[in-house]
Amino acid sequence: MSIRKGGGLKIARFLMVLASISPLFIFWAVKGSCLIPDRLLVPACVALCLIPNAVLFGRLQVARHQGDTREVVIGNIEDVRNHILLYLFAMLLPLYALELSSWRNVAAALAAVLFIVAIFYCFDLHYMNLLFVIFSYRVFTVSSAADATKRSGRRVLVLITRRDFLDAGDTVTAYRLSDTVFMETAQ
Amino acid sequence: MNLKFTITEIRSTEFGVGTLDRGSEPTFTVVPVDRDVKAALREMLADTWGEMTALTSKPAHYEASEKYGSVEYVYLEIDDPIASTLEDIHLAVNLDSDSSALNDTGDMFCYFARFVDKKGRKLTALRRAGQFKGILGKRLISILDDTLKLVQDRVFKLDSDFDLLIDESDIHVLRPSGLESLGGLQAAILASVKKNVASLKANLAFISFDEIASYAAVHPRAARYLSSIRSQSKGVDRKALQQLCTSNGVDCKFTKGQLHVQPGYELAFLEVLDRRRYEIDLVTGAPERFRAPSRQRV
Repeated sequence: MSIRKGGGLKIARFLMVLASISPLFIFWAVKGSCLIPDRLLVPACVALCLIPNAVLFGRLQVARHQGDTREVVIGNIEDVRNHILLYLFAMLLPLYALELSSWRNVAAALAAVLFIVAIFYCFDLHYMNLLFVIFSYRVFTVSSAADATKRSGRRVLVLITRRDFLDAGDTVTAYRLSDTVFMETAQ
Repeated sequence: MNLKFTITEIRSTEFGVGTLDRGSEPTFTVVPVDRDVKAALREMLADTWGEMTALTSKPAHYEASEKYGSVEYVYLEIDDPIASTLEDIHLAVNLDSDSSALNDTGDMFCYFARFVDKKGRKLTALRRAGQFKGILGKRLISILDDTLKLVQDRVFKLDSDFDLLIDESDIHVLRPSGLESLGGLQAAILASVKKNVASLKANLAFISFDEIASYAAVHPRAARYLSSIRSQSKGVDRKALQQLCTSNGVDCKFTKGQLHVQPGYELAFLEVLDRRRYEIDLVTGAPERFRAPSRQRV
């Protein structure tokens, strides 16, 4: 995945990254902390979980309303749904295991979350969202075929679709969630 | 001539810009636009096709050596070697999308729209970015209440039509100068001298092209003639050619069965071969010689 110089939808992409790690906030709300009272922690965690996902849903609605679609031509494909499982185990569980029993631990947890958010944002990993798996979507990375003309896009695109398979050469009409993440309109 | 695309049944519309960084290849980036801009682009497409068909229903084939007016409907096959840049743009897939591409318009040289109809056929429309770019430097005003106000935001103005349309087999050109600049034709024509000479050698084996090839490699006009002659080189009679050269004052000689053009006469010889030099005997005893920068078969 390439690191981009700029790109649009910066706030939406940032919130989509937060949506990616929203299961962590559910864990923290359930687990609680002896330092922060539940009346503050639970609403904060619920907000951090709901707002970013609402923004993701809102972005999809805006794309629908604006007819913001792209024709994604399938070249090289990789099913990356397993990345989501991998990230759950590799990233969320260690953070969940961290006890929020001292302010130092809370600061360490927040610093870790900050690093993860920065990495996800810079590497365009805002497509990692457990909701896609829950709603039976598959996530593929798509790049232009080797024989595509030299003017073809070089960026790796992410296509979220209900299809089980994609064939090289297929064209899929998809809504633009960001400059690199697309969701198929209908099958 | 028909467009291999149904303008009234468009499934998808994309908008983008072409930028040219110093010393590098042109880059084409898709810029997300809303429904209204897409509708305007579809309108531009319909207007462009309307203008083309109003000019003629049987467009002439584009010839690199021909001088064209500012607006003339001509066509060129998409697989023509000189149109390789435009073919690349048309066949490009998954162009990078960047909504911030319009932040810096200094390097922008064109904008384009890519359409897909309900049958899945693609059409690419291009326009040089003269007005699109120029409007940024001007002060624009608009009526917000009952007084005129300066427009503070960045404003981009779309033109009323495109310079050219590319469907699956042809490039339909409304402004030939647009084709030249967008397709980088000058460089493509110079680059194709070797290929064109090889093709001419096969059809005109009695002509020595070595001197002509070296001349055309550094003279764009001669390179344009070569590109044009390529499509009309079959069946040329050696005696008729020699006679035409003599009557038009082009110095060439047969040596060892091959026609050699004398130095300084390369361009004139190519003009003869491209049917651009002719002599008229309307006045007895005073033949008149002409050169035709633009001609049409009758």
